[in-house]
Amino acid sequence: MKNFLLLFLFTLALQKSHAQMYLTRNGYIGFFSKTPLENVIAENRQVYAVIDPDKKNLAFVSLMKGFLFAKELMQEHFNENYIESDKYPKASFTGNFTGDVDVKTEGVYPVQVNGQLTLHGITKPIQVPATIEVHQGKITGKSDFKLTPADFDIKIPSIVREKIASQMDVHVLVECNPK
Amino acid sequence: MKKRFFFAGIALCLLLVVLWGFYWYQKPRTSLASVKASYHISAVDLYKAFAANEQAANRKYLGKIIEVQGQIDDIKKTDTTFSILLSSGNDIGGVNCSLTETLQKILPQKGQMVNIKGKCIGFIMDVNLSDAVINP
Repeated sequence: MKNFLLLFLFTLALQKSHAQMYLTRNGYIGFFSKTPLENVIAENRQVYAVIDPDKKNLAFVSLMKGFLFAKELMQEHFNENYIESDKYPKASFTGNFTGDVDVKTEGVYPVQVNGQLTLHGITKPIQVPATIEVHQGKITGKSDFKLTPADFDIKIPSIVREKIASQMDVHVLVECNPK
Repeated sequence: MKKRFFFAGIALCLLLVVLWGFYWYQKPRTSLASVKASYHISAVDLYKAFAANEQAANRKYLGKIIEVQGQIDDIKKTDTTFSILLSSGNDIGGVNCSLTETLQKILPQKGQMVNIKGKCIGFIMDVNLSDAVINP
């Protein structure tokens, strides 16, 4: 059902006859874990996002294996032990935003994003503040928020718990072009 | 005397284990430039394989280093990387390659035929390759 919805959204995005949709296949999601012992950064620059400013809908999909770490071993542990990317290869978000965005007037519009986030096979509602910037015909969505891995049943073994924060800072930046 | 050698030996072994562990722990994610590709395939055929049967294609290609040949459909630059979309011959998807800019020797252009080597990380609309490099 979820996949069907995403496929539907992306297919809509690619039909020229439909109302204007904005799409990127190179969006950015990064997460940061800060502890006194170690800072961990993982970044994914192959995030797919669709924004429909008329209906105020948006959808994101990313591959877990697309999150890249500076250290090879960390990336391996992330994929094999924590996020189990062979079992749960994708993370996705579908939702909508509140607040008015006028695609004909350039500017930065603050919005509130509500929707369902699926991560590690678990779907949870999230609500985060974001901004939508209209600039040169493009729509850029930006949001910073915190996520708790434990909420998505992501288990961090006690041996590394000191090195991994219980909350992650998540940055999202998607520059979408009209499609 | 013998005992001393014994303990020195053990200490040396421990030190080596610690150094070895430290090396693996600190080892950066390596560039694929010197890694040999497991598969050589055209962007058209790679896309077809995933579009036809994602599960089967994942079993074959996921996590593997693949060298893909194709025509550049689109180039997007980000702050530290750029992304190249290789054409699959249809409008819906292609092969989305994420490249680290500092590793590139030649700057590609739209419409150009290129060989790109990268790690296959899965399929969303396009086949996705990460850590990619352009092969001359």
